[in-house]
Amino acid sequence: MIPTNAKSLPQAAKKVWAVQAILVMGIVVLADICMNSLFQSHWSHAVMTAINVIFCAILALAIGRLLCIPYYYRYHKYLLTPDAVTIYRGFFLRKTETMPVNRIQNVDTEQGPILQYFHLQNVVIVTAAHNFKIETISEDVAQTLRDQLIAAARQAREVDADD
Amino acid sequence: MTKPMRQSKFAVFAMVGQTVKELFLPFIFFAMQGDHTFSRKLWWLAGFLLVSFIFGVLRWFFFTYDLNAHEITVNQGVFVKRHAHVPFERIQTLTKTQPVLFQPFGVYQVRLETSGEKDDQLTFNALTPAQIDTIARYRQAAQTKVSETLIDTKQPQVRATYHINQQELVRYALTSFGSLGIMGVIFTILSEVSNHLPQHVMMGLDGWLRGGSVMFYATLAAGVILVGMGVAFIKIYNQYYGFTLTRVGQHLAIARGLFTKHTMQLRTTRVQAVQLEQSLLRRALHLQTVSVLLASANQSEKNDTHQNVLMPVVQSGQVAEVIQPFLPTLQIPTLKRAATVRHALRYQMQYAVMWALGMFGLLLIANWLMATYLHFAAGFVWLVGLAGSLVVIWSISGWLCITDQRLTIADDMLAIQITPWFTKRQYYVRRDKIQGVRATQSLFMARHQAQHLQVVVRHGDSATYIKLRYLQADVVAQVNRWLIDVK
Repeated sequence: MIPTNAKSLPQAAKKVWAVQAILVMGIVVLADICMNSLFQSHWSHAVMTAINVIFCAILALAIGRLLCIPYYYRYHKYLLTPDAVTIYRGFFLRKTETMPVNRIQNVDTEQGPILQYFHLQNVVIVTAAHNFKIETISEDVAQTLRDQLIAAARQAREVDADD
Repeated sequence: MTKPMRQSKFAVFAMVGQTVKELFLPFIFFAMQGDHTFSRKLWWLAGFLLVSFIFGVLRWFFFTYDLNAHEITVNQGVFVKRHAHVPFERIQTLTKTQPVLFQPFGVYQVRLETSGEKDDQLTFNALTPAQIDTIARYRQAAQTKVSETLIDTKQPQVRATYHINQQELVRYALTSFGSLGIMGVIFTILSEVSNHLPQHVMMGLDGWLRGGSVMFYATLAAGVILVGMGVAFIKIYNQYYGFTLTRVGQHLAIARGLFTKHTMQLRTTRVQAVQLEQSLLRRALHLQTVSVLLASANQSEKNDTHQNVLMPVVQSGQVAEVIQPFLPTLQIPTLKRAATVRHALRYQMQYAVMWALGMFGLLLIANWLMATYLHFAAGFVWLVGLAGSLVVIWSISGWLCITDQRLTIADDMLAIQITPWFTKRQYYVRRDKIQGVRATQSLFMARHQAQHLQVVVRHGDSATYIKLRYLQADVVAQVNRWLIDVK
């Protein structure tokens, strides 16, 4: 389903996802420890068990996410042609989304502290109805992609306007 | 450019009302302070009303608007001045509403919606028909690029008109499923009332109900259904009374309503898709409802579902003919069966039964919890009946979902038919109005070269996803190629 000319994300994306998952795990563990030490004597045993179960479930999801990073990376690609931008995700549950460039309203880039550290950016492509993200691509590629998409969108609009 | 204009004087009441609403909580807070006598409280109330009135009048006085060939400017605010400039080009719809109270004064509430993604719109509390006409003419002139000199003199010509007749209106109201919702409300009210009745009254009622025969219960149920249907009928009749659709150039105007009158103007170029809808009941009677998906700043969940109805009820075979004068550029191609994979129906049925059993599983858990903690649970026969009903309902829905799927590409038009949950919908979308497509497949589907397809179309300020299931991968690729093929 994924064409051979589709591009992969930079290798550093795996590190970003790992840091994010580890951060989530750290926060969950810390929050659970705080809850237990502060409220154990005030709340009933059943309530505390339920809280611990919820925290464990979140922790398990974060660990799952951490273990699945190679899988996400392997099957997360994008393809930019002069007419459309397409994003591919997943192997067990495969998703493909295509957006013609002349429907693009604007292209935004986002960069949190972790992405900043690794010199990566998220590119958000917005149409009149919805938007989609190409996550964790290098700053240079994001900038090129952004310029390319805007140029393509402008050119496509000019063609439409000429019509 | 016009001189700054004020709203009708009737708007003062709305402004006062708005101020009363805003100052009510502070007033209650101050009025409750200390131990005041009744006369003191009356003075407080009089003062509150006086302040509200003065503020209302000031608000009305400072709310002005002016028009030029390109934009409408609204200035408002007593202390903090706000100015909104909206280019006519950006206005998607102009909606007039006239609640019963407004009718003797001949004024309307007016809403101008733009195509922005957030819920941005201009609202006027009360304008006279002459004021609205001026705004509408300026807007129409700006959007059809007529020279400024013609604005005040030339009235555009009406190209096509459609009036709903009594028979159609009654047919539409009778086939509405709103009655189910009304019945739900009746049951809710009854159960709420029963919670607050004294115990001896409830015991008496309980005894009276227990003494009834099957015939008695059947009559009672029929009575509730009839009341529900009656209320729903009146509601729909009121909403669609005098429904009139008019086309003037590129603009459509919709007028409807008995007690509260609604009028909406929209540009045909802003129509994202045309939707023909048929509930199961209307399907049996060969009736369809025609509506449009519109790009507007209205949040979709807030969107009044009636707002975009172009024709409440049309005979199935006559839709193309009836709609043509209003949307002349709309092609309605013949719908062809969507090319699904070989065992698509079987896969969908398996999926549907799985869902039904999943739902049943949840109900079983709920039943077990009730039995454990409330000592009340449904019997075996009820559970088997419930499981059977769920499987049957989901299976029929799954069967309709696959057998009703249609997909046709005709030049620049994509025509799709789907039946999610028993309601058949046909969409006609022009290529340039499709924002994107999504394809999904599980590992199991990949083996059979099957894909689900979602077509993304703007509706309100967000998107509608039109979903087709178990299509052949080639068909999805074909739709993709057609979509991105720039002329």
